[in-house]
This record gives sequence, C-alpha cells and structure tokens, in this order.
Amino acid sequence: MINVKKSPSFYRINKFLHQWLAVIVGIQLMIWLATGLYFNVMDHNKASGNVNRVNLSTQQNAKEYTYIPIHALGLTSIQRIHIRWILDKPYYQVVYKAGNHQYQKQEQVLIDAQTGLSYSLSVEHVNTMALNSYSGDGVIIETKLVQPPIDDLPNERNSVWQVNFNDLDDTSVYIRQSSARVIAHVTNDRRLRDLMLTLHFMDYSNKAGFNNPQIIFFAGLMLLFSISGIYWLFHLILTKQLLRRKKSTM
Amino acid sequence: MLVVGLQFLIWGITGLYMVTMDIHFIHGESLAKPHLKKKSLPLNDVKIDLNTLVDLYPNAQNITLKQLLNQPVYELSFIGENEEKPILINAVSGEKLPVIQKQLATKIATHFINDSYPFRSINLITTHAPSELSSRHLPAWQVNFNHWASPMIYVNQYTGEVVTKRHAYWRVFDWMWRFHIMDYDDGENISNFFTERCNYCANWGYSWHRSYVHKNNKVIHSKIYSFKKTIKRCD
Repeated sequence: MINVKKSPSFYRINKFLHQWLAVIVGIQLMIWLATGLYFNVMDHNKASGNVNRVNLSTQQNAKEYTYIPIHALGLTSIQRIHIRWILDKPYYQVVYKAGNHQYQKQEQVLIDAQTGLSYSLSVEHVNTMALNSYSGDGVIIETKLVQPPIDDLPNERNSVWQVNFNDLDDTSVYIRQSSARVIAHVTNDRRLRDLMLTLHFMDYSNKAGFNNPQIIFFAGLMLLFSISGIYWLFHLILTKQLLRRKKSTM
Repeated sequence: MLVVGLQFLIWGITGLYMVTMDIHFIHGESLAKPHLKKKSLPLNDVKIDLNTLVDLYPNAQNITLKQLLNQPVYELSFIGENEEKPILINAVSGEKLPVIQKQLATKIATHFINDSYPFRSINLITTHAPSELSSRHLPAWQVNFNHWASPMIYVNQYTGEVVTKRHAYWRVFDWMWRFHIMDYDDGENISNFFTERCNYCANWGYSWHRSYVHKNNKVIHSKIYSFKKTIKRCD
C-alpha cells in the first residue's frame, strides 16, 4: 500500500505534474479519443474505398500465344520475371529491384511477351482497366499520370495513373505505371478515414506512418499523464477523499 | 476516471510501445541478410522457354521465373474449378520439383536469415496456423533460430518462398495492439464492444475530469455540457 500521509510533497508534485500534463496533452488526447471512437463506429467496407471495386480476372488460355524466349530479350541484373495478363494479352513484368512492400520504389518494366517490345500504359488502356475494375454509375472525367507525393496515397513512392469518376463518392482509381496493376480505389469515405488516421497518428508530414517524433513525444507525455492520474486516483481512494467529496456534493 | 483510468494507462503503455518501435523492424525486415536482394537471376542457365512450359502445363495461370537458392525455377499456380496446388519447375532441366522437404526448407531459411542466428529446429504446419501466420500460407515450414527473441522464418511448402518472418518484438507488438483496441480474441476487430463503450466513457470521463480539476473554469464547463449533448445524440 502507498503510505500517502508520509509523502505529502510527492502528492503535491504529482498533482501539479498531472494538471500541467493535462494542459499539454489535453487537446491531442481528445483527438485520440474522438478518432478512436470514429474507427470503432465507421463502416469498414465503405472506409476501404472498395465499394465499387471489381477484381480483374486473370484466367487465360496461355497456349493461345507464342512467346519471345526470355533469354532473347538481353536482360541482365534482374531478380524475377512475372508473366502478366493485361487486357487479355501476355506481358513480361521484369523486376530489377523490388521493395519489401509494393508501395516502395520499384524498379521494373513491362515487355510485350509476343513482340519483345517495351510496353508502357496508354491513356486508353488505363481508362479500360479503370472501367473494368469499377462497378459504379459514374463516368470518367479525368485521367492523368501523377508523381509522388500523392495526397490520396501518402505512402506510394511510384508513378501512378489517377482516373477520376464523376460519381457521388468522387471515386479515383489508381493504377501503378510500372506494373499496370490497379492498386486502389479512393472515395470520400476513404479520404475521411485517412484524415482520421493522420490525426490519430499525428502524421502531419503525410508519410503514412506512426513512427514520427511528435507522436513519440506526446505518447510519452500521455503515459506520464496516465501514471500520475492513477496515482492521484489511488491517493483519493486510500485517503477516502473521493467518497467524502461525493457525499459532500449529495 | 474510476472506470476508464486503467484503460487510459493501457492505451498509454501500448501506444508508446507501438510508436517507438520502427514498423519495418517489427515486420522482421532486419532479420534478412542485407545483400540477399542484390543477387541476379542466372538467365543464361534458363533452358526451358515459356512456349514449352505452357505446352506442358496449359492450365497454368500465374507463372513466375525466380530463384530458389540461386537455381532458376518457374513457379506455376492454377486457378479454376479443379484448383491445383502451386508447383515448381526446374528452369534448366524442365523437371517438376518435389514439394519442399525439411532439409531444403532449412537451407532456404538459413540462406535468408542474418548469419548471427544459429538454427534450432524445424516443424511442418499443415493445419491450424499459429496466430502469427496467415492460414493462406499453409502448408508451411516453421524454422526456429536460437536467439532470445525466438526468430522464426516460415517457408511455404509448395513455392519455397519465405512468406513470414517473426520475432519476439512482433509478438509483443501484436499483444500491445490487442490491448490497444481491446480485442482480446484475435486482434482483427477494432469495432468491438469493449473499445466502443470504453471510448464513450473515456470521452465523457476525460471531459468530466477536466471540469473537476478546473472547476472554476466556466469555459470548460460549457464545452463539457455541449460534449455531453453530443454523446447523448450518439447513443
């Protein structure tokens, strides 16, 4: 048990510390609680942005095609080659350098597996892929190639195509330029979730992470705030001040 | 505060742990040998071309040419009603490789992991994946290494890929996450009953507490009143 009567000075220091910590972390604590509550009650399906997303089928009859032999392409220093089906045609996805995560900087190219020529996504192909992945009512109003940093995809480090639809959710479909994969559908619900994540993680430099100095600082203060609060609470209980105060207010 | 005080402390401890530990380190990226990704695929050794391969395996849907311990291999996976398991084909000889055996799985894991971790044991997991391994990676070899952080490398039995890497820091992180979101089941549901109710209480309790501490501050009192009204509307 804590001998509270023998340590009045520590009690006063703790009380002072707790009150000032409350002043410093108070607003951020309210943000953590409010955004935490939002994560509890949000519709996860809507917040993912994938309400109108359709998975693109890759099932093909590979025997229908004749392929350029890989060794004839004169490639060097590669890590792996994937055979990809893009709009029903085969391509070699040549990976020179892959990150641990897809969003990290990738060094890869696409080569037409029938001709051996380098392939780069055209606006027409991008629009077709975006429409194939989309089941909503909107129509495409804009298609553009964007470079990182990208507001909707803060952790993306590669060039991506952004295809905007005119639906009520302001859907944007993102297709990675180097791999021709649909990487995300971003809607207003997802943008709201991302804003809440930014506030919760104090990620104001928009790096899509929670290992930043400001949150470490505030998390440390929050822990001190909790410990000092628990100590104060125990002190009130052990000295029966809590009950006395309650009775006096009745 | 009587009700949610302890949860505040738990949020404080778990939150501080999660933000101070680098997420890439938690994912076990430091377990891999740093030079591992620089090795190139020996394309000159590849004798089997894609035309031959699709003649032999016309149902193959996803095909990847990759390395298995510096040996070029094709990895084939299949989609459809008669879903077959992924297979590996030797890209030099064209022969179908058997599923990854214990010795080869050990070699793959020790080739992958940093040299400072000596091998300890190996188990094959075919059903009931542990919580640290997704069941979609089964069947997988669990290769254990001798270190206080108990590093484990999981190698898929069909593809020979290192699918997951775990150590004690990840396991602690996983528990911190469960306590943080108050999901004591599997840590996958952040919309659980406990977190929701506790969060309501915390929002109310924190506001009340501030009014208790600064009871002479009328501005805070008015804010709390409006906040209570908001909470009532939410209920």
